[in-house]
Amino acid sequence: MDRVLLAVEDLKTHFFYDDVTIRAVDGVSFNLREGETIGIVGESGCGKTITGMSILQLVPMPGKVIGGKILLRLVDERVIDIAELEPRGREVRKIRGKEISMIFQEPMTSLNPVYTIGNQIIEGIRLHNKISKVHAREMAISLLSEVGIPKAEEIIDMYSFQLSGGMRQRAMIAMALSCNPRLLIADEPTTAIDVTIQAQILELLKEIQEKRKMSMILITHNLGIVAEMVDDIIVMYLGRAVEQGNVIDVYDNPLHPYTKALMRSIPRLGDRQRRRLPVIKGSIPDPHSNLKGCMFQPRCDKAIKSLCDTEEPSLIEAEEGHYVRCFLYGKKEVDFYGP
Amino acid sequence: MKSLGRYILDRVFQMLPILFFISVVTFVLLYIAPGHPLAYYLDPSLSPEELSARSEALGLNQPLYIQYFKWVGGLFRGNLGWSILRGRPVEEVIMERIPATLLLMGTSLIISVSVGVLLAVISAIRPYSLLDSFLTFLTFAGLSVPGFFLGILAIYIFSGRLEWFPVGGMSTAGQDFSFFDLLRHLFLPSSVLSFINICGFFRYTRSGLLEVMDEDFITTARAKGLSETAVVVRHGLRNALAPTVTLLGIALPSLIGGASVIEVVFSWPGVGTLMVTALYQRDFPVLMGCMLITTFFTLVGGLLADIVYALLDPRVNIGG
Ligand SMILES: Nc1ncnc2c1ncn2[C@@H]1O[C@H](COP(=O)(O)OP(=O)(O)O)[C@@H](O)[C@H]1O
Ligand SMILES: [Mg+2]
Repeated sequence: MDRVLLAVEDLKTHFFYDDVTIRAVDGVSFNLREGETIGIVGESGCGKTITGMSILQLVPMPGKVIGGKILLRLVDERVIDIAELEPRGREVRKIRGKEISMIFQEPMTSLNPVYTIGNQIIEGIRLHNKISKVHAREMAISLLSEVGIPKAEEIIDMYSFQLSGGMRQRAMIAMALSCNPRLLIADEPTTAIDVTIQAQILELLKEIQEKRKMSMILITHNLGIVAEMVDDIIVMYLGRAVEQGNVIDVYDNPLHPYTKALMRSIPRLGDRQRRRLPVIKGSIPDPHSNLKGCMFQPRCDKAIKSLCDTEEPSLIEAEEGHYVRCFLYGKKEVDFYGP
Repeated sequence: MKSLGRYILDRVFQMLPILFFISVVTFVLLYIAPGHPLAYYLDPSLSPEELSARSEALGLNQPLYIQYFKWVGGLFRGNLGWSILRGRPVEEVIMERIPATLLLMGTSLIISVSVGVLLAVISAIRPYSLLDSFLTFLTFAGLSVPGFFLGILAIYIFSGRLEWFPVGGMSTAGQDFSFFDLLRHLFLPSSVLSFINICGFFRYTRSGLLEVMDEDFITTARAKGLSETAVVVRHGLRNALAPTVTLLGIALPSLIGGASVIEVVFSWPGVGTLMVTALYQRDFPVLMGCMLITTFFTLVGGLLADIVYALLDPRVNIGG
């Protein structure tokens, strides 16, 4: 089970406005193997959601995937580059919801208020499978039961506003699973949900993933929840991956000053209420300010003068399978001058 | 949780005080308007004594509130009053004008709602495209030009210059009724009225749609693999239509006003033309009857809009 399902290479997604270009995602690469989970973490606004949306060509206007490759291995072994597909074209629409599904941060607003839950699940099923309404409805009921919704035969005819946040997110998950996707992108699936339910939802995702041997991209700004959920992790900062590798390596030995700072800010079990979590100094710079050098340098206490503020570091392999974008771990000349 | 039936009943009861208020206001306004109600059509050589006697006979010398209650009392017997000028009951005068108004307004409402919404959907599928910008500009221009001017322009070009359509009216004088003749007369006024209303409906629906298209559930719909057309029509429109219908209910008086202007310009024998004529003639009973009927239809229209809203949005019915 270690064949690569999705290979993202140097993904770039920018928003084009008349006066500015916002580089929301600017060079993200990773391999995701079948049945594995990768976590994308970073503060709000660092480009996690846009990375997820880029994989489905769902970036809203005026954003556009403008560089890199998004290679997906289909069931028939063909490999297609989603980055090259027309965002409104037929090809990518066949992938959405069928090969790759996505669930979103806000279960409150992610379901259409004028249609019942069942209606919305059945719509997806019937879009990708030629089956009768009755059959699709049975499938929807069993999906709702699978995600732990009690009395699924009744809930299926309810509207989203009649359900709690946790139930809505379960319904979203059921909808995402309806066509047996091989990859699920979960964008902060628990952020907007009551804390007491968060663990249940994560548990459910883990369980379903193992049962269905599905790959998953778990997006979160909470480093605390990814450790048990993911195999690999990507730490993003201002549209770039600043550190990535096996989750154990990154947790045990964080390299990038930003990752270290993030780790320090995780609340730990047994923390005294009064212990104040260290906060990363400074704030995220304006994404369209013309920052030179390393993006994190203005907030970094290890910044090297006249290096970090002039040149941009590239991603280097500091340890085997553990990558970091920081001059503290050397400088790969070849990246600067080309092969 | 309220049932739809109860909801409608509540709304009907809310309508009564509005009707009462409107009737009092119009009654008072018309009464204090300058000019004697009999001045327009009585022989100017009548002596003041004779004039007073006539007024007395018609009840015009009684206190205002008595006149008002008499009028309202008649309403409950389906009696809108007596037109002195026309020598006929008001309800009869108005009733014979209603079919013409309904024909003109109905035709143009059906055309303008369907075309306006269709164009809005086309625009929202590719917002800010060349086509969208063109439609937005055209409808803005359309709304900036007064209706009577468009009407006169249409008459000048299509009736005057090209002589394709009659100048006005509903039928050719001295000719037997024929459906084709009616259509020929209906074409210009209903086209002008439709054009004006299309501009309004397009802009309401488009802006409502674009707002909805930013919602999270639209991203969910796209993530399923639906085509953009399906996303706009099934998920966008259904949500955008509910507030648009309410706006429609609110805009009803101005729709009726706009239709009246067009009626006058095209000498269309409807309630609008009657109202304007009655105003010039100081035919108070007819004028008040027209006002009352218009108010009534406005309120009923608003009620219908609310019912459609409730049918479109389950949150109203079920209570979110
Ligand atoms: N519709 C948009 N228009 C312009 N910029 C956007 C838009 N959506 C996102 N961005 C930019 O992309 C960056 C990354 O956003 P996002 O991926 O949503 O961050 P997050 O990591 O919180 O999910 C943000 O800094 C924001 O400036
Ligand atoms: Mg996000």
